[in-house]
Amino acid sequence: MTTQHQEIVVSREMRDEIERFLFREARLIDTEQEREWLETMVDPEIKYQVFSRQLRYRKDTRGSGDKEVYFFDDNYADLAHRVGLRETGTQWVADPPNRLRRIVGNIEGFEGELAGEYRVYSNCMVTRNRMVYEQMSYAYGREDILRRGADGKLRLLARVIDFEERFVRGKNLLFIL
Amino acid sequence: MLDIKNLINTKDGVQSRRIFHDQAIYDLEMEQIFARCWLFLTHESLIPNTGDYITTKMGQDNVIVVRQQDGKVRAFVNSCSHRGARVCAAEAGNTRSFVCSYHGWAYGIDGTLQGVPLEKEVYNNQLDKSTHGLVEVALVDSFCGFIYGCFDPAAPSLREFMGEAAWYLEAWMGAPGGTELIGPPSRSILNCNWKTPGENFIGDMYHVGWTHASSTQVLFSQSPLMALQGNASLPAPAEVMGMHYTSRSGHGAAITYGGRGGLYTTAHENEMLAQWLAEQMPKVAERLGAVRAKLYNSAWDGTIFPNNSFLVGPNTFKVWLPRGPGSIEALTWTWVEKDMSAELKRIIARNMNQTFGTAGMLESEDADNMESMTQSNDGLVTRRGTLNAQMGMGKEREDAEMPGVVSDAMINELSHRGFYRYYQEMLVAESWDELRANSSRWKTVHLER
Repeated sequence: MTTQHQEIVVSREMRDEIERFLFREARLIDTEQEREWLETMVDPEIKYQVFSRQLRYRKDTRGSGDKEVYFFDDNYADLAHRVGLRETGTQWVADPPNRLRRIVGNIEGFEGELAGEYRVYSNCMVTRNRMVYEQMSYAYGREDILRRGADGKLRLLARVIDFEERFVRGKNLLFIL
Repeated sequence: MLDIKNLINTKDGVQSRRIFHDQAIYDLEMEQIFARCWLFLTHESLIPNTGDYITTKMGQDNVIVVRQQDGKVRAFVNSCSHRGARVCAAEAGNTRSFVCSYHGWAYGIDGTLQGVPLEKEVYNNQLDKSTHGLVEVALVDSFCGFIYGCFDPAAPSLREFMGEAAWYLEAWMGAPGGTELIGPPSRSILNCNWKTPGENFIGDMYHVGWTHASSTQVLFSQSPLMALQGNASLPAPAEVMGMHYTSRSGHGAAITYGGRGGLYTTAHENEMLAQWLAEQMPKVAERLGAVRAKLYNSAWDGTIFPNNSFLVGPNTFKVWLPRGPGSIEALTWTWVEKDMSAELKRIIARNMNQTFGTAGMLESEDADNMESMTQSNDGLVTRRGTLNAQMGMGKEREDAEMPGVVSDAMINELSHRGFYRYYQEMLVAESWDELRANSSRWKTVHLER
């Protein structure tokens, strides 16, 4: 992840608020409260992206074609579809329930480019247990933009994850990262 | 004792469960199928320039596919002729040479050994470089821009291997302006046998309403496929909704008439695609006739034998790379038509990844089935049994215009039976001559009741 913009570290109070935000988000997602997450923590203008880079040699600048594939390139409506699937009661892959548990760390908060926006970096370790025998884990870094809404609350405006595991051994990424 | 002649009973539509489990059968598949059949490698659009390459696998053999000086595409085994280390660690790129990371042997993009470090000092100039090139994949050819390779120099041409399926595939692969793949692929592991996703994609429309009950409800509210949700009823008789075909070499598909559009979640996206299809239909009709124009506008799920699957509508293009009897790597691309607008291509890729990519909502629903279909046969008693692919038996027929064997119902298992018919033939046949000898009568087993 690059940091081209000028970095102004947020205040201690702001840092606490950002941390509380990320921890609450983790708890809601990991306890099947994605609807609550979506409606209270996600900005309607959200841009939520997870991509994977094709492995190319460092010196190779001439190769053809796109170098990334986007696993997620979601807006609010897309995220609402993902959240809505489990609510149908017929999403067999989530029944019996999957269990998610995540650790969020290495949190850094900076003032954003616009007033009321914050650029936040964090690392995540997620374990997903499902279907008696399956345990998968995922590690990735997140680059988020949080924005303070008119109601004074922070919301997730953008998330970009440059997913490092090129060959995804955990089968799929069908959860909120 | 392994009796390979009795693994498949095409006439009765049953298959031994052991084909999803036994290591001995898997080893035979590698030898008889993956070392002899045409296998998908890449698309012309992903390696347009001299020196452009990608790395992939044919069976479990690592290969490099590279565009030559003369514009042709050749493929080589990605293993140094000295001590066997790989000569290319990247997935794609552009290069003038492939250099082994072990001792630095360097190969040209034509596979010839060109540089050996300290050649004079340590080999006394006695190393014959001309016999130490990379092992070349015997045959490489493309069909509508999709590049396939084959290890067996005695194999039929790609066109002959495609057989009757070529007529169908041209309806979308041969779109008026051509097709291309949007790379790079996503890559994920599934703990299943390589045939389970292949047989699912080859024509299993039966699972759509059930496996995908939640996603058809949430995502396909503007599609005729929405009506399948819950497998409770059909909006029209299955015979009216679509068809199945199978072909000499086991390639097949289910086709749902008029189902290509309407699969996206926003009206704007669906309208953009509908407008595109409306513009193209007359052109397809002029080039290929009215029947294939109808197929162009349809939703498809199909497999090109042995391990290459696709969807028309969601526009996914996949290859299932075997990693042993119970594991595969799935590679997934989006296919689009070359002269679509950049916006339409982006819409298609976005929707494809949301449904059939690594975080795809439908992909993950399929994966559990693929895996449990495989793993249940770990049980000794379980795998003594057989599996049933009898749906639609007795309805197979030949058609005046559509080649191969067809059946007038898109919820059907004709294409499954055709896949396993050819699978069994490949496992048993010792030569292509033996296979060709069956070519004049392959339809009989499907048609005679």
